[in-house]
Amino acid sequence: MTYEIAELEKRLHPGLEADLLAIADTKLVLGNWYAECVMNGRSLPDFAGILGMCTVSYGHSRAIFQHLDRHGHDYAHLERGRGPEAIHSMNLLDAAPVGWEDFILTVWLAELATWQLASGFLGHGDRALAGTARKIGEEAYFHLKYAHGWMRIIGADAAERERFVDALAGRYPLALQWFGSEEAADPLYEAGERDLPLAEIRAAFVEQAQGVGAHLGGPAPVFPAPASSSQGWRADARRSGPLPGSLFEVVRFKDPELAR
Amino acid sequence: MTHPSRALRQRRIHSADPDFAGVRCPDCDGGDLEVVSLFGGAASEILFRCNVCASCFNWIKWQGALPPGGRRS
Repeated sequence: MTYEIAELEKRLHPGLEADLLAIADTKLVLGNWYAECVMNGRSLPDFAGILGMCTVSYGHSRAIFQHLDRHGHDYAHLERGRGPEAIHSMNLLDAAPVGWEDFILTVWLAELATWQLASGFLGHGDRALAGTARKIGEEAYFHLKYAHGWMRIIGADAAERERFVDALAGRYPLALQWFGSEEAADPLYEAGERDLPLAEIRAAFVEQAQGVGAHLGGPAPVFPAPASSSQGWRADARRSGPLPGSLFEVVRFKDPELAR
Repeated sequence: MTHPSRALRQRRIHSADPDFAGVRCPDCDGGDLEVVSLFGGAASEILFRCNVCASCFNWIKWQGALPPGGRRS
């Protein structure tokens, strides 16, 4: 599918809008995770790394908001006008990390999942969108490398490794459910908007996530079975329920109050 | 509070990364380098230290590499 200049003003496929917003909002919340947790870094390179990943995550959100703005949405509304029910970030990031191992695991899963979903648009006919997907990948490459380095350190300590594996049992199903059921149809692929079926992207995520043992060392962790569809699942938002109020208070744009 | 031993282990892990095998020191052209930080003064940079001439330099990290994507090999 190719795009012409005249098509820039047109609304996107509703499924494409939904998936772009799911990536952008997850990056928005992920950026806030980095901002909130930066002082828990273990050394100066951690502070630099976490702040770098923070700004990059916000940048990804804003690039996607700008893309949606060119297709009939309002940037200001997307960035600062939405309530907790309209922010489509993945449930994985709803609960704050309980420790350093949980933090490293969760940001790794979020980076991996958002990259996998974005990778489905690398060959999109709209070069701006394809370029944004590529940029997300180029940056995620180093974010994942950072997490892999920490996994090797965590894996070398029995107690830390145990905490990491415990966190995996709770977090992994929340990341996996973001992709929906493996049997579900993929209207975006059928419409030529996605390069490959979502089931294939989901399978690639599973393969990458289950390769965590290679970074952690030692016996491969046991992965919990995928959760069945949780109550209140909103397929268009790729999440169940609204963003928790306490998290919304962290991520919402606060410029109007600061200006007073 | 920092944990120097962990920072040192991070340096060693990232310094041994084959992605950085071709990086050279801009001052002495030495190849014996250490990754001080995977993120430098900007998110686009990696901070290296040359073990030959002790200079520190930033290296632009994006070389077009992508993580494994949806199309599995």
